Amino acid sequence: MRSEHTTTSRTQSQFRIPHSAFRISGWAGGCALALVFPLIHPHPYHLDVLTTAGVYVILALGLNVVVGFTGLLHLGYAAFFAIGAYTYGLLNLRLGWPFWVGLGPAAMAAGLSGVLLGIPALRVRGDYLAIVTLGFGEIVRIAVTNLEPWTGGPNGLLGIAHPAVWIPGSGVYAFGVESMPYYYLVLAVAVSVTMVCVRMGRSRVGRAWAAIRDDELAASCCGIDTFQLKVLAQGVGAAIAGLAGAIFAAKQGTITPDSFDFILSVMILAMVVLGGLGSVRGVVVGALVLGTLPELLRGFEQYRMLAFGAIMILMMRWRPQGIFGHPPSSSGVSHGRAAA
Amino acid sequence: MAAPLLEIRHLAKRFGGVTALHDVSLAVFPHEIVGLIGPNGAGKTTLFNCATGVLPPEAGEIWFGRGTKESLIGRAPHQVIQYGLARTFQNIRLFATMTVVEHVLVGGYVRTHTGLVGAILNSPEARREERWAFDRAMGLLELVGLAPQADQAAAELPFGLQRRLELARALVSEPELLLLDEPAAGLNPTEKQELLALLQRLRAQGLTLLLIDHDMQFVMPVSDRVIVLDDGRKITEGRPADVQNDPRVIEAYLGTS
Ligand SMILES: Nc1ncnc2c1ncn2[C@@H]1O[C@H](COP(=O)(O)OP(=O)(O)OP(=O)(O)O)[C@@H](O)[C@H]1O
Ligand SMILES: [Mg+2]
Repeated sequence: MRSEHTTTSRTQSQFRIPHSAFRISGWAGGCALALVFPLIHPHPYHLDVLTTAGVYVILALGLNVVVGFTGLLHLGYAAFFAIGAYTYGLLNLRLGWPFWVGLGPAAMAAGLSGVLLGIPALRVRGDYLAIVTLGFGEIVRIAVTNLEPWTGGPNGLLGIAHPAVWIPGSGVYAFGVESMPYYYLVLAVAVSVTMVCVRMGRSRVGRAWAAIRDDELAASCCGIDTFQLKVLAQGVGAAIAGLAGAIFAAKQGTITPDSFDFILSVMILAMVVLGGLGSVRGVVVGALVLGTLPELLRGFEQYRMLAFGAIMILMMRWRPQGIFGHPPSSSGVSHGRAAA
Repeated sequence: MAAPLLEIRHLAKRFGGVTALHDVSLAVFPHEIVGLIGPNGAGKTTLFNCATGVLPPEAGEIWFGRGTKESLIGRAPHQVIQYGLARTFQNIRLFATMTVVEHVLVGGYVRTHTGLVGAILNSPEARREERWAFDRAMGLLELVGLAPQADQAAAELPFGLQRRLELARALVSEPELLLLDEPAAGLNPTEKQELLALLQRLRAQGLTLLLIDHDMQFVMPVSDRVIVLDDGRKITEGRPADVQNDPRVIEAYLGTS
């Protein structure tokens, strides 16, 4: 039996996403624009808004691994962001670790907490998983608020070091409170995370995640250890949030528990859903739109959440798969005609 | 006679008050095509579910393997397929967002190894394996006649081709034994003939098959042996011609019991 099926094959690797040239030029154009934008429009406040949106892009990409790729609902994702931020904050304040050294441990701590949460939580599904993750998000926020000797309680951590880089010839350059260096830092990380996500999504593991999302039983009958892969997805998604957390802490210099509330978890989820579950470029666009929207609607402060809600409802009504998501083809897979 | 590839002893399974399987014993030998027949609700699918780790049986033993026998009791579905036992589903279970070739790539999961790190770094080994897996998937699609549809969304395929895709997805894991749950249901006569020819080719290549159907006209001609279930019990087994004329089978099918 072994390998006898491997008959001749046709041209190889024409198996690629259609329109890939179009997509690549979209990515390249977006990156080029993002690279030169601060040079043609060096407006500190606008750069700040875009930097914040970039942090949202990183967060949404991470949550997309869990919700979009693997189909697991997660309502406490901001907790991983908090764990990353506090890990770098504490490593810096207690041990004096600089940003570049603290970044990896922050991602690892968040990733580990994702795995540890996943081990008990991912044995349940659907509504129960939603409740468990919601509870996790609240527990982390409350713990951070109450572990005063460590976390500074409600006042948070103050005086976290900003990043600095050593430039050959001109010495150490500290990021300080300027906008431009953070803009480029976040851009670099967001682009890297995007690439990582695209590669993961197309890989053997990415296909296994998609199989779990589409039909968990069929996936396990294909030899996929669904529990292990769900835990892996949650660990990877959490680690990406930890990365974003460390960058956030280094940029702000101050972090408090209320930066990591339930609304943030919902916002990130909305970005993933708006862009299109599982579609990396969709999630990037969704995060940029919803990440800058509050600023575009500044004048209408009190109507912001209203507009936000209206957009979500319209989306759900007219384009539930998101801007770039797959059309809902599940109805097309035959069920029933065969049954008995 | 050679040692059985699959041996089930005294298997029992109940759902609340319903006894789906009651003391069922059977054996499947290497390179056989065995038909598993019985009226609606006889317990055929439940037997597959117990054998593939989808449902835990209440009692009984399930042994599988050519040389060393492995007990499949307590194994999860993803472990069962690693021993070389693959299956298809009665009500087709395809992946709603995937293309045809992606299904077969997922089916080859157990034959590939690239982890996340290799994929993220796009290492040469990862690329090599991906190409290998893709070529193999295309080879299998060719075998079942789905190569022209490789890049189509599986959900858009006509029903008959969806059944073939499920078959390809199971075959790519290189099983020793393939369990097919009503593979001919819903197919037109031409499609049934094509399926028959394909199953015979697979057997000639060394595959062992256990296939469910309640259409006797389909199972009888392909099967070396037929096992009949009724109401959770094995009522008889034997060569197709003998079973066909067995009064107990006729009774079970006519529902006079
Ligand atoms: N998951 C389940 N929960 C409860 N009862 C079940 C379940 N699966 C099967 N049953 C019951 O067990 C009995 C056997 O069902 P099974 O699906 O194994 O029959 P079958 O022989 O495959 O029938 P069919 O030809 O209709 O597919 C039936 O009475 C069915 O209602
Ligand atoms: Mg059945």
